[in-house]
Amino acid sequence: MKDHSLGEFEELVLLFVAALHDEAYGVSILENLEEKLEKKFNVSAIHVALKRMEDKGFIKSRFGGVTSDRGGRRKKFYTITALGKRVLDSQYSLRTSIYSKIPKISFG
Amino acid sequence: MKIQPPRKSLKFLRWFCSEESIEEVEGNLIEIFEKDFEKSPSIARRKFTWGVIKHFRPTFIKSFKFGQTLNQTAMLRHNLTISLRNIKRYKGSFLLNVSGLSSGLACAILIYLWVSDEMRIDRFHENDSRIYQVLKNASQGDKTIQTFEVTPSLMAQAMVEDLPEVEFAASVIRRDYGVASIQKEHLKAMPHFVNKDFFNVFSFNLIVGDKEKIFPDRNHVLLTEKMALKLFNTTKDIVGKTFEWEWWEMFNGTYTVGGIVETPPSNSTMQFDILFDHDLWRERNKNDGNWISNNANTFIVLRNGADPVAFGEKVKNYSRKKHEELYGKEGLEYEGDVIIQRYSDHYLYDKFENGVQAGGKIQYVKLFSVVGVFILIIACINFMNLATAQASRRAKEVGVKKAIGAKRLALIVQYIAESILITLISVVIAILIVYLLLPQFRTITAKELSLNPDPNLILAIAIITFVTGIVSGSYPALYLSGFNAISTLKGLLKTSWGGSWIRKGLVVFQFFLSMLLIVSVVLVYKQIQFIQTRNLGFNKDNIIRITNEGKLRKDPATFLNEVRRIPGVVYAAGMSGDLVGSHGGGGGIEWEGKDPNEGIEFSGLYAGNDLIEMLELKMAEGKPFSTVATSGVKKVIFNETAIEMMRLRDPVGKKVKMWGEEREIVGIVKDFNYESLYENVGPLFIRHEDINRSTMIKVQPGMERETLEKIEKFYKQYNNEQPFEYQFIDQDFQTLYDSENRVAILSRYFAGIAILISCLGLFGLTAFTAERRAKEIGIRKILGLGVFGIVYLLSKDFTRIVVIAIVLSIPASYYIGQRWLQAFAYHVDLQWWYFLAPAAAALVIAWLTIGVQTIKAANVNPAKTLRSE
Repeated sequence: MKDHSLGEFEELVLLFVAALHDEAYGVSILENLEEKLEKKFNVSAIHVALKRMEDKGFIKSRFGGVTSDRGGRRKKFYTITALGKRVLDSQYSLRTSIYSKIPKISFG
Repeated sequence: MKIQPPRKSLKFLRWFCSEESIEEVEGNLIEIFEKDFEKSPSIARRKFTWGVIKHFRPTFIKSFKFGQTLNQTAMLRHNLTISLRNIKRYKGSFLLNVSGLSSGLACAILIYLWVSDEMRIDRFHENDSRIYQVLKNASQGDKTIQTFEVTPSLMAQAMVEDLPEVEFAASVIRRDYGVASIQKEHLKAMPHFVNKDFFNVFSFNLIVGDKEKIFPDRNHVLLTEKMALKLFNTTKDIVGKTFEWEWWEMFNGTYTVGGIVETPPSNSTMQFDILFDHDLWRERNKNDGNWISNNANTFIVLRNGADPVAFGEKVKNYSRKKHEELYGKEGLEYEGDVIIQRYSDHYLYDKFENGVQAGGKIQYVKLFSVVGVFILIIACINFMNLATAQASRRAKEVGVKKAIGAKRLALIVQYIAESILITLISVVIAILIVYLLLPQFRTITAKELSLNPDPNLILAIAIITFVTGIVSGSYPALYLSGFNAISTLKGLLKTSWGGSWIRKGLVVFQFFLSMLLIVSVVLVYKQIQFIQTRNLGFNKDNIIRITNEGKLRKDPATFLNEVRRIPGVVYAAGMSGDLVGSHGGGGGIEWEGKDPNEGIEFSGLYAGNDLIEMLELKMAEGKPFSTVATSGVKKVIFNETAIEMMRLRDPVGKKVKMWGEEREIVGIVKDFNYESLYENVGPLFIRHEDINRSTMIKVQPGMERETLEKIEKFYKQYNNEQPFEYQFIDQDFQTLYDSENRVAILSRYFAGIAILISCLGLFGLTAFTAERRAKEIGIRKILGLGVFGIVYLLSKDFTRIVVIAIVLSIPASYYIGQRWLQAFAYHVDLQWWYFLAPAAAALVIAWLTIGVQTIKAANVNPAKTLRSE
């Protein structure tokens, strides 16, 4: 059986891959994450998450062009796949459906 | 300006990170670094390094597999194809390699067969690890200690009773052959007298019979299968049948077959035809049954868990204590320390010096193992030298492979695999050679060796093959794979000075080993010749020995008188004991002025009239038996060593007491060698007896055939048609040096093969050099250099190598030779020509080898070699 599980951090990264659309690569995801969550991350965590999700088929990658920046290394861009989108959707609907069950009383 | 991330971290990242991830990881890390750098260079650097370290995890690390994208089987096939093409293309060097390796391997396999057979002797017994032989160290008058195999026949039983560590103890009495007969059928047979524990100690199968009670009564015996077949033509239903036995007077009579025992296998040192009851021996032999006569070999089985070292220490004084218990202090000086030795070790470690184990046949086992390894090394060196010398032929292959991306390790593996392939081909040929030579080898070694595929043999051959393959392939593989891809492809291969230096060193080593072997062979040969032609102090030529049986035993005097009348018979005399070892004898002799605390073990001969004259022994004082008369007292003669050790003055005419009987010394005989020349002459007495175990007859030289025919005719008439069996006593001396003779023959062959293989290598190298320098030779020839000049040019390098090897080998072989010869009490002195002659021979053989090639090269028409280009 194929592994369709999605960890919390992976979900965040996947959300950014989807949100950044075509501009998602290691550093851009990192910067966005740090900005939104106001927390420092090491890029290695993102690399691991990306690699895992690519292996699971949630995202796919392509290489950008060569520039003189980055030590001559190309950027590796990620986009979300249909499977990735479905997993993300089901995760989202699961959460909202449970969320909607919370009784409407005040939490004083 | 370009900002550089920390170099070491980057290098580390590139080293571990997989190809797949490096682009992304390195790119992102650098981008972050560049951004951080503007804020703070030091933080950026630290962060970068930290980032690299965080990536050091299985997800990003390279896989360990080499060339995981390569198709392994395709690679293997490719390598095999290349190897085979090479073999096809350079048939000459392939043939040289295979013939050298296969003869080397054949030698190694033969040596393995011999060595493993030697190592297996006596190890087939189930209790092997617990069977010990009991030996006795007796100190002699001159304070040297001699080790004896014989012990009292009471020892075995006493040990079982007294010592809780001893589980079983076998007592075995072995003497000479006797004759078993049914009606007219007479058969020579070897009897052993054994006690009831015999089958508990040794694993000889009892085919018919009761293991608990092997002898129902004293007249029952056990026959071996072989003996039963010879005597009764069957092994079925023979229990209860009887036969006549003729041996020593008191044992003659009718015996009943009580059972059948498996014939002892050839790897047993114990070889018997008939087993008699030990009790019978003691009942009939009145001289035995005490603690003073040493007649039996004692073998014990220690209980599981008993420590043999502690046990050995414990029983050291056993025999002495027992003696004192039985007889008090009297004769205690003849007792000695009891020592134990593992029974299966006794065959290989059979020499004792001064009571301490001092090697034995194990030395030959070691010698040949070393020879085998030497020969293999020589063969391996051939392969290495040819492969590296011809490296230029394969340099382009290395270049192309490296350019495509072959790693060095892959190349090393390829070349080692190639040499293993060639070794495999060689081993097949070697096995064929061994198979063909085996009958010959069997006769030389007198062993029943076979090439039956038992797992040990297969494993041994496999190990020999792979080690040889890897050793011979290792240096070429390292050498070839180290070539620089670019320079080989440009055709700029430099055969480095270092490479040729190693090659020369290897040839030196090869000839060094060959020289060692040749010098050893010369020494062994010289020593054996020396021993066999040495003046032993008596004349053993043309003397036959007949074992006295039947009527001849009872009445030898009439027989001797009659035989002396036969024309062609020079002397005839009775004798007991043996001129070459197994002398009866012992201590128990008392003489005037004897130190009561000191016992001397004598060797003894029992002789009738004329024996001293027959052997041409020289008398130092007094007269031989036949020419002196003593009034009623029996006569005895001692040798010079004995008199010296006894410290007797004016011995002739004095009386000695031998085992209670008074005898008069009538003469002193000059020392002669009655034992192997390994030993110095020991004290000896010659007792005068009229009735003896054997008859010696000296035949006129040149009349041997007709005289022997007459003796045979008379013998048969005298002795009731018993078979006439005789032996020339110089044959006994041959068998005394049997193992030396075998070693001599084998080492001669092996040394020959060693030098042959070395020359094969030299031949290959010269051929190759001549080929490489063909153009140079052509030009020199055109410029007017003669054939001799060219031969000189090509051979001077090789000559230098061989000379260096010879010079180095002389001190080494001198040292080894000196040590080997010291084992002999009488040995040849090392002569300068023992070293020079082999040296000259090696040089001449090397020159011949080189000469064939160089003369061929020198005679090539220069137009041919220079035409192309």
